This record gives sequence, C-alpha cells and structure tokens, in this order.
Amino acid sequence: MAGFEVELAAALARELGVRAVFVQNDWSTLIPSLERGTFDIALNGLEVTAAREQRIRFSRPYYVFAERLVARQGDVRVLDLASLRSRRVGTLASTLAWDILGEAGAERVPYEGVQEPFIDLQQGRTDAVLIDDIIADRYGKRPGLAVVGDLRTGHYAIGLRRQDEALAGVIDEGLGRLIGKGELHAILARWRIDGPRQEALIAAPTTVPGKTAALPAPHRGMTAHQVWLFFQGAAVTLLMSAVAMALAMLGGLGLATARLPSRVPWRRALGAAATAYVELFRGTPVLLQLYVIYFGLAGVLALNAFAAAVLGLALNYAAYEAEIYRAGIQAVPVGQVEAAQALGMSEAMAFRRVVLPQAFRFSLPGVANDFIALLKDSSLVSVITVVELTKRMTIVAVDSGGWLMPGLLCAGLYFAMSYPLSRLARRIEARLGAAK
Amino acid sequence: MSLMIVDGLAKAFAGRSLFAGVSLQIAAGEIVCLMGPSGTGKTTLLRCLNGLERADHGTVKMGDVELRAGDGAQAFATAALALRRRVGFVFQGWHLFAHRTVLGNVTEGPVFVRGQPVGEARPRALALLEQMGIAHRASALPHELSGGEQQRAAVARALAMQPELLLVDEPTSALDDDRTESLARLFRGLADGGLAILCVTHDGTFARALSARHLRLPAAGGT
Repeated sequence: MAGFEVELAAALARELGVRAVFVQNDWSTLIPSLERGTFDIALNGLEVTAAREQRIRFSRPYYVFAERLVARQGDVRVLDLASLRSRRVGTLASTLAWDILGEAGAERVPYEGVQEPFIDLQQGRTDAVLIDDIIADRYGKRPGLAVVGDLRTGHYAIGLRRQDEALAGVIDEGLGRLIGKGELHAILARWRIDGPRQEALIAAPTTVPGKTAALPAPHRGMTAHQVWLFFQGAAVTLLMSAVAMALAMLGGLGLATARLPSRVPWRRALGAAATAYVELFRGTPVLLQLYVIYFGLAGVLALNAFAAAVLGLALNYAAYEAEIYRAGIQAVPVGQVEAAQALGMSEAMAFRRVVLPQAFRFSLPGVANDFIALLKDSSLVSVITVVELTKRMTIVAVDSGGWLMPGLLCAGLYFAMSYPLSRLARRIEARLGAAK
Repeated sequence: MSLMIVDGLAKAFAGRSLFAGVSLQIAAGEIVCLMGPSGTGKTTLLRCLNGLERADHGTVKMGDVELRAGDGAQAFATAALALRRRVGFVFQGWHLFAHRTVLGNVTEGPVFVRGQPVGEARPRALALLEQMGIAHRASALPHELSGGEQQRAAVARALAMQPELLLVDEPTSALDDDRTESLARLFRGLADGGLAILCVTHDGTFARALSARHLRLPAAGGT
C-alpha cells in the first residue's frame, strides 16, 4: 500500500506515539464503517461537506483539492459547470463532485474505479469527467483528453466519530504540529502534489470551509423522489435481466444443440468449441466478463453500458442454460425418439418436433431458477456504470445517511420480482411431476 | 403377391445369436402372429423390419425399397426412412408423445411427415379416434389415459399414416380379456380392409382370436 495519505498516517502515528493499523474498506462506506467502529479514523480523501459534518467530526484539513473538469480535446460544448446540464458526466459515486453534478442538472454516470471514467470519456460514452485534481492528474492524462478547468476547491480532512471529541483534539494538534514542522508539506512535495493552494492549510488552521451554516442540512430518511428512483432502478434491473435471459436461452439452445453427440467431423468440432465456451464462461467470474466486454473491448466493440451489461450477462448465463438444456434433452426417453422415427421423421425433425419441446419442459424449473439468480447477479453491472436497483440503493443510502430503509426497500423490490418467478417454477415442477 | 419379403435376417447380441436365417413373406390383408417364449428376439426382429435396429445379415424388401444389413450408414438410413413411410409401428410401451394431446399425437405424422394441411388431417384423425372408440379423449394428454386408451391412441397414430403394413409388439400385455377380444376384432376388420399386420405376441388366446398364420421364432433358426 502506498500513497501520500499512507505516509501522512504513518507520520501522524509517529507524532502521537502510536502505531497505525490500516484497514481495507470500500470508499463509499467509510462513514458507516467508522460509525460502527471498524476503525477509529478515516483518512482517505474524505471531502468536508455539510452533509458529512452532520454525521461525523472532521479534523483540520490536510489537503486542499480542486474539482477538475476534464473533457475530450477540442470539445467546445464543455466549458464550465453550467454547460454540463443534461450532459453525461462521469465521476465517483457519493463524492462531492457527484453532489455538484446533481445540482448542476448533469446526467451523472457513477464509477467505482478511478481509471474507468477516463476510458469511457475517451470512448465517447460520456461528455466529461468531474473529479478531484489528485485523481485527474494521475489517471486522466490520456491521449485525446484535456483539462477544461477547476470548478471549485475543497478540503480533505480526517473523519472521526462525533463522540470521540478527545481523540479529535489530539489528531488536530498532531496534524497542526506536522504542518508547523513542514512535514506535511514534505510529504506532498514527495508525491508532487504540493502547490500554492496548500498554503491555505497553514494560513487558516482552524477554519473548515464546509462549516458554513447556510448550506442546507442533509435530509434524514428517504424522500418521495428517492423512492421513485428506486422503482426506476428496479425497472432497469427487470428489463436488463429479461432481455439478457431471453438471449441466454437462445444462446444456450444453440450451444446445447451443438454439443449433441454426432459422428460428423464438422459437428464434432462445433461441439468441442461449444464445450470450450461453456467451460470458459462458467469457469470465470461474470464480473470479470463484464469488465472485459465494457472496458477491455472498448476499442473494438463500442457498446453503451446497458448493452454491454445485457451482453455480458447473456453470454455468461448462456453457458448455464446450455447445461440445463443438455440435461433436459438427455431426460427425454429414447422411446419418444423411436416413436417419431417410426412415423417416418428424420433425426432432425424428431429432434425439433419431439425432443426439444419435451426437453424444454424438463428444463423450465431450472431456467426459472437461473432467471432468479440472474436477477440478483445483475447488480454486478454497476461496475460498468449501469445504475440498477442495488446501485441506486447504495447511492440513496449514502445520500440519506441511512442504510436500513434503502436496504429494506431494495430487498423488498428484489423479492417482489423474484418471488412470482419461484412460485411459477414450483408450479411447473408440480405439473411435470404429475405428468410422470 | 407378397407385400414384404424378409430374407435371411440374422442378429446376434453380445456374442449370442438371437435369431438367424429368418425369412418370411407377408401379403396384403394378411395377419401374421410371431410367437415364442421371451428372450428369443421377437421384439428385436420386429425392430429390424423397419430399420429401428440393423440386422447383422439379410434384407427386408418392400416394393422398390430394400433395407440391406450390409449397406453404409447413409444408404441404410435413407432406405429405413422410405420403408417407415409404408410401415406403421405400435410399441409395446406405446411411446405416445408426452407433450401432445391424443389428437396431436395422431395428426403429428400426417401434418409434419406427409405435409397434409391441418384442416384435412384433423377430421381424419378424429374419425380414426371414433373408430378406436376414444374420440371423447381427443384433447387428453397421454398420462391422463388408461393403458387400453393409450394403446388405441398408439394404433390410431400409426394408422393415420395410412400404412400398408402394421408392426405390433405385444399388444395385449396391458389388456383384460374383453379388451383383448375387441382388439382382435379391430385387427381383423383392418385386415379385411387390406392392411397387413405382423404381430409379436405370446398370448395364444389372442393369436387364435386373430385366426392368423402363426410363426414361431426358435432360439436360432429359420422359418
């Protein structure tokens, strides 16, 4: 682990005569984890905002950052904050930039990694990226991209639990001594992120800019609009899953048919290829497949996020459907095929008219189960910026400051979508059982 | 004149000869009963006659179609396909299409193999079911039928293809005496209409009721 904040944490620990223990945590859940005591301080690019100040105690700032606007070279439409209205702008979810873009009326595209926003900007999937200058400097210098300007400055500070006032005082003093001795400046210089802007850290040691009371207090609980957004997320999840499943079923049928035993050489080769496909897609994580399709193949296959998500899920689930159909085909009694042949049907016609319809019925419960699994796996597509139900839940949870209500609503919506399916699967199973 | 001529048919299974040198001829309108104890390969012989199984030696000839045991896979499959369009088969286990109704089972062949319009195939199928006495079960699924009804549906399915010869495997194993008697009447009536029937059975009463030519299949011998 390396970074200027790692060095700062080490220096601060030395200054206070303690040992720093680093804890791995998702950036977007730093505050709830801090509150529940997973760690004692959060020192990781936490921007001082009015909303966060309602929940946690911030130390004095240790870095002055700027929200940097990056666009494609020569794109004259992206000028300033006002020009971002209704444009697709990428940033990290739940950051200050996310809030700023929301107020500006931009169509926000959420990312979890720091490189991906710039890949998508290059590919033309977004119009701009608004992100902390530290990140833009390190990851945004890609061919074809240019910095438009800095829109706003803010402070990184250490986050602490509100009740740990004594610890906060000690941290503030320690930080003050590091600033006074020039040690913080030395660290920033080593990472080449020092500059005239950082002078403010010394000049106004106690003033935390975010503390201005005029900013609206964050709303606790969920608003009607947020609930509406939840239903939108559920619709995205359902639509994406349904289209992906339909494609997976078609693909699975093709794969299963290709894998039928045959003596013809080209059919055997096709079968081997289908087997390889099934093993490859079943044996690697769908998350990885989504990444490769969306970011890895961005240069050759310019899909938008929703299409990439549908394709990724469909390719993955086709492998599973193929196995279900194969089992279904094998479950059709050989007497059924012989009866068809005795009527004068060719092998191909017997397969189409007699084997396939019955195999499909045998497969239905498995297919319904897979659809339920896909419905839930579809939450993975948030890594390629699709805002579906789970992603909407995390965004609202961070915005509203509570995980319980959004979590329950999210779970309820998933259940409302999957339960009818599982009932349907059970009814089909019962009917098949009666038919045997 | 013979409808089907079987010549020198032989089949071994796992090194053991099931039958050898089987030769027989069946004429139109004739009923032949193939009798003999279990395990003598009666069912296998029947399956060899329409190419569901391939004999080791011998030929099955029907008009200009000749099924030769020694032919290549492609030629054998082509001949078997041509033969099956003229020869109906009723399995001991019936093997009705589980996903189709009784009516669907009967129209499947005429519509999809013969290419008959559904509008023609349906009334003909219903008439056949009427003749079999199960028209009231036309929209039932096979698993909803009794054994006797399933058998009648299977016979109707085979007859819908208007075969010249009907191969039937152990038709009475699921029938009581009354049903056996009425099945014999049905077969005699069909034979009167010109249909040849080759029936594998070990039921002497049924064979007598058919008043047919009887053939016995010994452990390994000709007829």
